Amino acid sequence: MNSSNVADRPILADLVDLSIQVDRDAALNPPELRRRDRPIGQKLAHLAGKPQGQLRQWLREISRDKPTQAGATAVKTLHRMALILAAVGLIIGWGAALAIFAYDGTRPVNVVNVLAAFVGVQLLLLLLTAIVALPRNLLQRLPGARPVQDLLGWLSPGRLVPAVARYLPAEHRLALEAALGRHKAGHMAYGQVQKWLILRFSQILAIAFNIGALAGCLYLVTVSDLAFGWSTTLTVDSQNFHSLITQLAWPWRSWLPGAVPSIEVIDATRYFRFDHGILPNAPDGSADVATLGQWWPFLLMAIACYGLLPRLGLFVLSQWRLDAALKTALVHAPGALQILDRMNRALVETAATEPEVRMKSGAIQEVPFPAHSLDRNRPNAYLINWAGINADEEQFDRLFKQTMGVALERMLHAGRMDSIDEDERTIDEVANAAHNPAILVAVKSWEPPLLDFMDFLDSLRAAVGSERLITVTPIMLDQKREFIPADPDDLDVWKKRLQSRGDSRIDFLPLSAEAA
Amino acid sequence: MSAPAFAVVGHPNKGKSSIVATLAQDNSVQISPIPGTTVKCRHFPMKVDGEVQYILVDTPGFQRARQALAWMRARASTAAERVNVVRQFVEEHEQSGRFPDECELLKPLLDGAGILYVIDGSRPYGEEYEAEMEILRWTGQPSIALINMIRKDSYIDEWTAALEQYFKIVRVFNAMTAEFQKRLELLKAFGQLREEWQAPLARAVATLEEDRRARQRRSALAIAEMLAEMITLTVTKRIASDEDPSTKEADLARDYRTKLRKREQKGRRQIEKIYDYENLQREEAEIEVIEQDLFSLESWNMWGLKKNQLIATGALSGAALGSGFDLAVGGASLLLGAAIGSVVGGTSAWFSYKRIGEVKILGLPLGGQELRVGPARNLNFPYVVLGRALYHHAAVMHRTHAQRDVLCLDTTAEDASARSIAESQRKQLERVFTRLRNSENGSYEPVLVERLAEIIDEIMIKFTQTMLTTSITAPPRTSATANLPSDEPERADDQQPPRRAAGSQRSVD
Repeated sequence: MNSSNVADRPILADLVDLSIQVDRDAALNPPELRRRDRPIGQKLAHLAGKPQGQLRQWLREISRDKPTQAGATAVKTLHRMALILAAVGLIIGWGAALAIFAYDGTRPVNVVNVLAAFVGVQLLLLLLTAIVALPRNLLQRLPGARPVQDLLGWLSPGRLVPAVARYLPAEHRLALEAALGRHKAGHMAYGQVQKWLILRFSQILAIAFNIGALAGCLYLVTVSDLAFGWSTTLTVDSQNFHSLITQLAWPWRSWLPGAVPSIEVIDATRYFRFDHGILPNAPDGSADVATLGQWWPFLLMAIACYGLLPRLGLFVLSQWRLDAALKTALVHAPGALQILDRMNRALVETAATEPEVRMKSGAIQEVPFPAHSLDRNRPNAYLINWAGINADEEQFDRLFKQTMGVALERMLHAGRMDSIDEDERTIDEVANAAHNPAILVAVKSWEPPLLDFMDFLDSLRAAVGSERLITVTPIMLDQKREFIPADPDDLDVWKKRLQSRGDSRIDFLPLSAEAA
Repeated sequence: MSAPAFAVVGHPNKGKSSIVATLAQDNSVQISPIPGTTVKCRHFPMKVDGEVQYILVDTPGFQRARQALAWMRARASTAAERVNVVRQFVEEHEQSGRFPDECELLKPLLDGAGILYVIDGSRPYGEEYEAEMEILRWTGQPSIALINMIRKDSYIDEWTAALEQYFKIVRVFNAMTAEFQKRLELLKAFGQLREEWQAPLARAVATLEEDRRARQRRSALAIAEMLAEMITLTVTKRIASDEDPSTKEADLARDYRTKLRKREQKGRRQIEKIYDYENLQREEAEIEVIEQDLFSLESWNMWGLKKNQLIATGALSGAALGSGFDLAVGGASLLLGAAIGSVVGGTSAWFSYKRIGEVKILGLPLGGQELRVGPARNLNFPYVVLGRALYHHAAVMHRTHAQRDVLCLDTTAEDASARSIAESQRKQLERVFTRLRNSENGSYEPVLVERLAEIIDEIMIKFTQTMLTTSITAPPRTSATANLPSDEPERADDQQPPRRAAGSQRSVD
């Protein structure tokens, strides 16, 4: 879809869809969202710096696969509501005109009455609307204005919309609620949309009312002969009344003098109820009776100028403010900033592309170690120093005498850098010792048991036979090369690894704290 | 040109996976004390908008280095033959299954990856490492040695002496505590290995820095949103006019506190997600709300009018009546009628307002009382919330993905963090807080949140630096996820992340 479609679509529809999309996105992970939105952002690079355009186009892209109807439905519903309000306004206006201009021939239509209903009341209502339309921060400076605004906002006919919506089918009602931001009413951005939406509805009703009134008036003028008069208890003479009327006719008196009643007409059309509806000053003769109907262009112009025109103006204003509020709401809607951020920031990924392949551990069968049974009747032992533990033979001798009561007969080396040959020589020597000394293998507890060591144990086992006990002792040295107890974590690793060999003649004998 | 690749190689259990987890900010890296956990190479490409800048490769550790070297030595007589012999070794043993780990870890090197050789500098040097270092040298690839400090003991000197014979660059890098800047420095060092790698690595570093700033801004916005919602949170309950409101207060206060807590928890998770921590376990004291000034009792009526609205209605209708009088006397009253009318109307509405609650239509009350908790009027409340959030953010920001323990947050440090906000920023904050507190029904202008986010972002920049020097006093705790308990004290260096518990710090490849 190209960008011209974006301009065609009402922002309100986008606002509704955006709020629905943000709710949907809440279930997704941020990285997922970034991966989805960044390519869209790159595609919309030409819209950089135009958050509104970006957001709207983003919606298009997002909803391409699963378009949402909510926005369109909301707009449709609002249009329908506007039509209903317009119809209601027309009927009321028409009805009001028929009622106020009712003339049965007994008493002329009172011009004061018409002006009060169609100009006075309307101007008052207009004033109230203007108060509602004032920006909030301006109102904060006027003491007591806020509650008045709240109240008037509450009384505004636009408020009828949600009430009427209650009787709409569920789909339309929900769309409308979304449009009015009901579920996010806490958000001021929606509050402004709501306010201007309601004000615009009020203007539609008022415009329709005025059109209805004008149409009703014209109708009566056309199909019946109306006699107008003016009557008031107040002490107003024709001269005063004429100047008032001339003032009222100020907007059109210069270019439409025919719609300003002359002093003669005013004088002629004054009446008192006392006279049973008869106009005492009215000239005789049927030709002059026509003067009595001369009021109607003035009245029509009064309704148009003080009723219809300001409402049209307010309608334009509220439409303009509504558009502005919608635009603001779109950019400030909850989640919108995050969407823009996802679109406009480079997508940086550092995580792995493939899942971790783990060693299969299920099949390992652990064999318990034999009871520590380093033979007391074998007082001598051969020690294999694996991987060059940095301690001399004397140190080891003292240690093993103390801990196991065995004397070291020999210390052999294996697992050193030199060569594999040394390992083989060591194994041969142990296997060939005629007096079968005890076999001790000292390992560095801090280094993990590697397959290299396991290979060595396999070879040693093969050389000495399956019954000879091989005792593995993990050693730990401090920085002064003194023996210290090994880390239990390290010991645990060694223990598990040795047990997993399934060799019951391998013993595991770590140094106790006392021994160390 | 293909993106530079770096294979993290070494002995098992020396923190290779931790380094990869920290550099790649990936929680999915298995860090286990059982040697041989990593059996296959795992690739961690750093991508910017899908374009790969560099690739980190986690590899299994050497298991039979001596035997492999013996095999190779038997076949190479000159230095020129070495690379080919290594290649031959891999080709020959890939099928045999004799050296699965060596084959797996050598493959990326033969494909041209740079070498990041990792050892544990807190354990003594041993000659058994020489075989693997020699094999790495035989591959002919540029290399860097990383001394990873897993524990507090230090054998750095003897390690450095040995490593310098094999590697051009030797660096100390603590995968657990490495500051973001340290990580970037390390990446820059990777670039020094080969000239053509310098540009892509520099680009990657710049992007990561930018990304870090963006994440911080996102966090500031998330915190601002949370703060605004928490400040304006209100909970209400309607009660009949003859009911005693005090009996409902406890329930309502509980409800309010639960909602506050939930919102705060949600905020914490948001921040953690921003920094790619999923399901991070956290320990934090619950937020306390001073109940003073929390409750208010408002009346309600079925028209939904607030008291002041109703008074305005009274005043308006009074004024309308009064205007009629003014009209009747031809304006001679100088609009006094309207003025008096509005006062009379307003006053009568004031008096009648309470009585509405007692009127019933068809048995249903037209009005009653509404007990309300919140918004929190306590001036200190937003600062407490903000202090906690800033502290949590800094803790998450300074954490590394190699850490798998519970994130413990300390209340006293949280308080201190709120106090450390500069006076000028406090003033800016107060302006926003005041407007938030005064917003009606929790509806505030989105601009306020954006302004708040800007201020918080500024505070964060200062805060993350200053908080590092503050308290590091919590006792180490054991992680629920760590496999092995550890009671080791933490490293007391100045790169220490804030108040982190020391869990299992062991890692095995």
